[in-house]
Amino acid sequence: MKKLYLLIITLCSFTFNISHSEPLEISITEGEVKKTNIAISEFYTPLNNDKTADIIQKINSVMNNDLTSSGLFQIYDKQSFMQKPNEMRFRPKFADWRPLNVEILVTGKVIPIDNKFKIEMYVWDIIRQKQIFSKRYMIGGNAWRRLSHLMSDDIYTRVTGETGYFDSRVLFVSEQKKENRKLKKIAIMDLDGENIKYITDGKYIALTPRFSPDKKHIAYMSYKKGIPAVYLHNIRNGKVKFLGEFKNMTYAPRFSPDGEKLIFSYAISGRSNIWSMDITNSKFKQITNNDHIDTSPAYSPDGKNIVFTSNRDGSPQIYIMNLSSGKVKRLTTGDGSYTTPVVSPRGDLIAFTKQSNGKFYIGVMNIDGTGERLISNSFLDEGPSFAPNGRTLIFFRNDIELGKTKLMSIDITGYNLREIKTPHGASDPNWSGLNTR
Amino acid sequence: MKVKSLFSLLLLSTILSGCFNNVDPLSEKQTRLQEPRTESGFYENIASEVGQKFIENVSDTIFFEYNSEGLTDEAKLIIDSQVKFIKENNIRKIIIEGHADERGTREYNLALGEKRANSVKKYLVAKGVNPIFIQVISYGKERPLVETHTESAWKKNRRGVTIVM
Repeated sequence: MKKLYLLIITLCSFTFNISHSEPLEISITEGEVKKTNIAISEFYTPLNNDKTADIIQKINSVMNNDLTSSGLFQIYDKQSFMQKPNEMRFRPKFADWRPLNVEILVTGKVIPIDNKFKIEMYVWDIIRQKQIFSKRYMIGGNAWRRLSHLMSDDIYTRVTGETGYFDSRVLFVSEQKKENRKLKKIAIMDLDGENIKYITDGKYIALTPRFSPDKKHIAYMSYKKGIPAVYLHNIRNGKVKFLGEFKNMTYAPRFSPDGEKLIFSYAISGRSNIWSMDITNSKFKQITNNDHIDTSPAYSPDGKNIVFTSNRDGSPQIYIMNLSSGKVKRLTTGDGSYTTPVVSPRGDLIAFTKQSNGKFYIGVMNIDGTGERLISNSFLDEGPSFAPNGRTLIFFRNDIELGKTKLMSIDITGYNLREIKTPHGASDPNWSGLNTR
Repeated sequence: MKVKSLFSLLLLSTILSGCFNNVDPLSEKQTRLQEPRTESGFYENIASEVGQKFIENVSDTIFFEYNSEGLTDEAKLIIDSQVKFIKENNIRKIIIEGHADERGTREYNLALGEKRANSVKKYLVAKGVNPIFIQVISYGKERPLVETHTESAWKKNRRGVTIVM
């Protein structure tokens, strides 16, 4: 069943010359996808009051937006729907929908009970003329947005066979121009740009925010005490812990997969090395030791290895280190420099920033450094972060024509590049895992 | 606390308006001075009298090659003049800022800025300045001097700035 709906992704790649004077050729891979045609009907309600009608309309709009943004669905225009919600409250008339080329139809019911809503969703296979699945939810009046994301996730999961990611959040640096300066604040929002909250106030530059695996903490770097230092922020109570004891700059923090450790760079007298800290007892440990720059560390999902950027061989390249043996191996060998490595949730891929011939690229390669594919490029593309299902990346782009940094998302195949709208400039995105259900 | 910062602001604005009379208002120093500095907490240095004298008498900024923290001969000459000033005026607090151009990723550039600031520090120390007077701070690519995206802008942004108090 699922197999039939698995989307067929074909990769096509084309090559272009970066510059006429240079022999170097870089190919950008762009995926292509056969979209699933889906029609999402507004849900039926037996009680026609304004509040219910409003919620029905909002749910429909969020679900349409979610599924469109994935690039895997073609949303069928409501104007041409063959049946009204009340006509489909039991079962749609498949024969009516079939000529429209609709493959999947979503219907539902919303029943207000006191201050809550009972919501039922039905997902239909038009071609096979049967129900794929149905699900029942109970929500408070304000939870409609989150529920819409959850329903989108359910549809995405059943149709693609992969875990949905619409019910997730993004940490980023909001860059607001104010007079002659840029306020750089840490912010958090839903993946679709809603529910923005600011974690820092912009008085001091704050950068590189990262979620802890349980999403209860954020680690980031701030100039609050003059010299850049890593801070640990409790999202729930707003308490901030300063990783003290360091006389010099600490930066580039990331959590271990079990959430017990923080890994970061510590710079002393022009030498940047990687350190880790046990969060519960504040014990520090030096991990790398050389005279160059070692930074942007990230754990593999099993916690056994770290990947990082180092200029120990001259230009910035990506290395992998086994934490128990201490053995380090260089992964990148191509032209240009490679920075900001992150490992996919499955542990099979590394996404990175590449810089070559005056341009920046986002790329992915296998965990052993083979199979490099570049999937986006511009004047400045930087800092990829994986979606919880490992299928999509979020990164930031400095659009010099607009004079603004912005968040972009792209599938790891190079397909479906799109902007994630934010009220001001935005950089350093970090994608959360899925919300706890 | 509030009174103090207000006072510094007042001092700063007095000094800034003073500079406009003496120096070409479009010079790089001016651009840098007008940049608010609450992030570094260094309003006071800019407002200090000796800091102002330093900026007027010697060059406070040196420039680096791309992806390099090495000091050029030109940079060394400038730092020599800074050393002379520091010794003559018995300076006991020096802050060295390291900056990078935008052609590098954020975290890497923070490291590079730190390397650059330390190159200046090491040179100052080699010339006899007491290291305990010196503090380094990296701004990576966060505080460009020139906001455009050209080779000449990048040249000016790859810099080390010496501030004395």
